[in-house]
Amino acid sequence: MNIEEITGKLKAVFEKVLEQEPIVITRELSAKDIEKWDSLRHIQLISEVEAAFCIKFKLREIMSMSNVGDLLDLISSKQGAPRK
Amino acid sequence: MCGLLVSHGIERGDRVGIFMEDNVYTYASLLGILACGACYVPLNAHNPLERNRGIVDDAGIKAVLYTEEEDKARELAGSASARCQAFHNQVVSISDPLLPVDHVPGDLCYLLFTSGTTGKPKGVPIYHRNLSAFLDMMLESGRYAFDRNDRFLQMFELTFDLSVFSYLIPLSVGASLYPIPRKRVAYLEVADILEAKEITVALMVPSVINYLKPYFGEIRLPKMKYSLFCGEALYHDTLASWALCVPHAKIENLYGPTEATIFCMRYEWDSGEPPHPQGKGIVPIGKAMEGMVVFNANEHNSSEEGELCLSGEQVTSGYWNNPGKTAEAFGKTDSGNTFYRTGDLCKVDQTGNFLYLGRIDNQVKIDGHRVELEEIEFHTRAFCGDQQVIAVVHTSGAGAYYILLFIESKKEIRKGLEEYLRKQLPVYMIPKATVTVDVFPLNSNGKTDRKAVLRNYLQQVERDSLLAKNLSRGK
Repeated sequence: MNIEEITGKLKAVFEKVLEQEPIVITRELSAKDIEKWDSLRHIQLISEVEAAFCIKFKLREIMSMSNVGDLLDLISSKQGAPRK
Repeated sequence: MCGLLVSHGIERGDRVGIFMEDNVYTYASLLGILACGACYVPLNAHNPLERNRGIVDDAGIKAVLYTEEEDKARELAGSASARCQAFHNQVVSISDPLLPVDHVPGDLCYLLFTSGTTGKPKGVPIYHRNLSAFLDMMLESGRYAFDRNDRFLQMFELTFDLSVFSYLIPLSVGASLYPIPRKRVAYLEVADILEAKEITVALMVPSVINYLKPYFGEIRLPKMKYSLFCGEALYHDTLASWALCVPHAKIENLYGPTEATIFCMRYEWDSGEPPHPQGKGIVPIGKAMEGMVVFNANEHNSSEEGELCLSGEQVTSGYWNNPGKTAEAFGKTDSGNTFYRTGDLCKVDQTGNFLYLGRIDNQVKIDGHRVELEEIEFHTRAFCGDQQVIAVVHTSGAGAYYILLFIESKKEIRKGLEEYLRKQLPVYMIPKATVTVDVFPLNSNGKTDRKAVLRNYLQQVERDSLLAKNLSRGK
């Protein structure tokens, strides 16, 4: 899966969990940009992303993510895709 | 800080508002306000202006302190009915040393506003005699061995009184405190600080460990001395798993409403103990702390369920400027002492430990914040006109609580509602979903059946999700 495909899939997950359309996925996007993105939705996001990409995150990985760019990199690395 | 306040005409007994911001000046301001004999009123700069203005007027706030939120502070001070100034809480050097004002027990210390059933936040004044009783219990009873080498977690907003424990106890013993930055989601910030700063004393709301549960296998905090919980029901199973993450910590479940100063009941939890046979999976809230008296209002049979009542030096005398609510919630014991009716339903077991069984009203806790569901319903009705409205709380699979709002209407009237509610209520009180229902079901007494409304909705959601799955399989 290339980075465009990952971004597209991620966009669908974000729009579903955060109940907002459209969400423009940028590397800089983070919880402070979307009011509904609170602790509860964050948990939902993580578990939906894990299900969508058939991967599992470690707590340390989740803690080190500060924006969507970090999340994209992490998904790519877990899928073995080249980073952008 | 104290000099700055005095130079702006702040005197003993005055109320000073403070925007909670993530910096050392905010904490310096709290101490400065107390040192000059004034009372602090924490304000969230991100709450709607109307809500903050109501608090400024109700409390008679004379000044609002800020570090970065200058525009919001000026707008708020300017909107107040009486004279109110806004100024930066910078630390200034002064030539003449200032001595802290000697407090008397009846002086106001802090004033916190909690959700109110009539759509208006309710002020809970805490006096120095209340706080002194709490500090004596924590520091003089010999029960806790805190010292200057301890590192305390501070995860609470200052509007939440558990923050007073988390900043004042470490400062009282010369220890350090680590407030969580509010840039990312709270439970991740907590997890980060617990490990990175080798926290030794952590008071947390149980939601944090509910959120972290899937990752307990990766968490090990051998330096933790005290792992304390308060603010919500604590589940035995989650706690038993958490105990493995903090192998050397003493674990306690603490209980207490804002009206009785931070917390006033304690249950020492032993990692080997089984779930309480009558606890329905919830850890008991234990017994009264030193200096407090706790009783079940069901006088005829205290082993039966009844409302939990509290009396003692930590209990405030009543609500701020609200004799009606004070008369409803506060009473006098036969010996003339003030007691507070908590609204919590309890039961006492054979060993004298109290068990928390739920609420007698519609108050709920969202991440530890007290929420009166009637306050949400009040503002929703104000938006929709005469429609019947129900706010309910629901628990997700992850153990987190969230609010659902139901409106009885045959028409779609949700448009603009969320925006309206965001102007009236703090973020944690905004419903996660709003649903219109043609007709609300009634219970056998002819009243709206709140539980059935929620049940019907959840069944519908389940049916929809099954349908969606079947449709996608059929593709």
